[in-house]
Amino acid sequence: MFLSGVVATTILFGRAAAAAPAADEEAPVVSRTIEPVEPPPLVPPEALRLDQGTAYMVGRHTLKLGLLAFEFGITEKLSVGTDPPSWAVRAIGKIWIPNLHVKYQFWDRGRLAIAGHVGGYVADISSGDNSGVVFEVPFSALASVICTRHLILHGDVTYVFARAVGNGDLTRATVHGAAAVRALQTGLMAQIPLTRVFSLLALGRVQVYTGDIGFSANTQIDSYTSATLNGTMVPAVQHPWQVVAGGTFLWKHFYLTAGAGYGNFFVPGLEVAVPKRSVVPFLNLAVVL
Amino acid sequence: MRWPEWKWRAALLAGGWLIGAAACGPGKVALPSPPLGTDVAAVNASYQMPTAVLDTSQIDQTYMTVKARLDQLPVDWLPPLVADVLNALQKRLQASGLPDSPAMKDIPSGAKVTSVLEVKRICNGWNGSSTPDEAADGSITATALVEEGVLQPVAWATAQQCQEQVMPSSASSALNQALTVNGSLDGSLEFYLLGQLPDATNGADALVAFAGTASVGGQTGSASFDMQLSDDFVKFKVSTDSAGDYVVVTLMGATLQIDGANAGFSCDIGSATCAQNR
Repeated sequence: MFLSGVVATTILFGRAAAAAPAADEEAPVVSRTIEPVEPPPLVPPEALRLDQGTAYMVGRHTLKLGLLAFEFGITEKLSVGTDPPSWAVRAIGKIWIPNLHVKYQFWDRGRLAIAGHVGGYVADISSGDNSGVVFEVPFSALASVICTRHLILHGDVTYVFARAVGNGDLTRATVHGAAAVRALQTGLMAQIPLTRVFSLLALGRVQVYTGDIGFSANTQIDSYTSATLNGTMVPAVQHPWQVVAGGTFLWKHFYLTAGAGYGNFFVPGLEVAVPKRSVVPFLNLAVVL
Repeated sequence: MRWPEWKWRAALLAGGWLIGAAACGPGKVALPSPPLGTDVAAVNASYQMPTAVLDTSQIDQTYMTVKARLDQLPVDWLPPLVADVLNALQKRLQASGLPDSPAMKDIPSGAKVTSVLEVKRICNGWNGSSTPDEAADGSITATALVEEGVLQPVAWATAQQCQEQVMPSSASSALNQALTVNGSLDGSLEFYLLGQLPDATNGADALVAFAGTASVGGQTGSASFDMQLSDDFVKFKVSTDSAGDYVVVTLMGATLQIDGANAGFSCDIGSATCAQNR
């Protein structure tokens, strides 16, 4: 992990030339090895357990069961998981969204950590005789920087790719007005460690670019009638945003994050924004095994 | 520590894929224009303002002019054909959760859809064949547009040697009591939708402008006309003089309502008698 550089130095001590003994004398050589020194961490290591939406990882062979993500660390730098909120959309949106994501940490040296996160979501929008699916693939580049002992910044840039295939009911691909479309988002979270396990959080997120979702479908209505539908769909709000504040406890086996804010709610993982602005909840519970 | 080369390659690959995905997204859908280019909204509005001044003492002569025009128009079989074509559009729009009426200002999700819907229907033919045969019976292709979540009132269809055996509309029951009519259509139809697209139980509620060739019972002729269709009536315009002044005629079963700028008459087709009612 960060600041885990080990200093191992061997210093050779010799007498100064001026004080050197006669040439026929063997110069005594003193060899001493200095034990590796672990510099004190700038921030409590527990603060770096915050892996949701940051460049930090859940850890090798670690299973995290959380409200926002189930995550398993295959290695120290690679984890896979799935997002329960997208599965839970079934409860309100009558639509299944099976999903999987992979996170890989490219860099973790000194104060900087960089990771990539790719998700894959499939929404079945079939209804009646019409069948179709919407694919959504969010790519995120995540960076975490330890600025001072009391400030860690986590930034991300996310591109969401979406495409509809088939002739299903497109409105089923939306949940409370949130539609999967091509989009570019960026977010910044400030983490302020106050104690070993508790940090204050403040985050903002904005969708800087909103594209559309294209669809094309050919349907045979009956033996005499065929239909071709081509089009695009864009969400009602072009630049959704949110600002949220809260706090997080990062105990060894249990994480609790809670807070609230205002703006457009971004469905975690899917990163699609609900058009209506309102109070945004910020809650995550996770058990780490 | 030096980053292994494979990591750089993987990062570059991922970055390239990302940029490619961003660049290769679907473009905006291009909305086509109707083939006739008729201002159907203006034509529809003209039905509210008949310009001919009726000579109430000469209404019989006006009636004869109207009846002659009525006999030329396919008021018996075109409305059911139009309703059938518009119903195919309605089914497809509904299946995708898109609005099927210009009055619906948005789809429930709030998302904005822009789309082009084309429905191609192979015509039934005159022989009652149960298998579609486009080469023999022709086809009709209808187009509807949804722009930013709103069904556009202007739609159109192109008929190519379309031969249909249709049941006459209820509005024309006094004119044609045959069980079926053999009609043929070759040309362009332009619609101005006045309400919801017809479902299985309702007729069309639209203005129709046609240019092309229409035939019924083997009699073919070039035609250019417009009519306003509803569940219960068919309206059309009849010029009463060389200046282009016109009356608006409403056909409802056995009754013709003739409206001019100054007066209106209700005429019984069976007895060919008219009575002033406005």
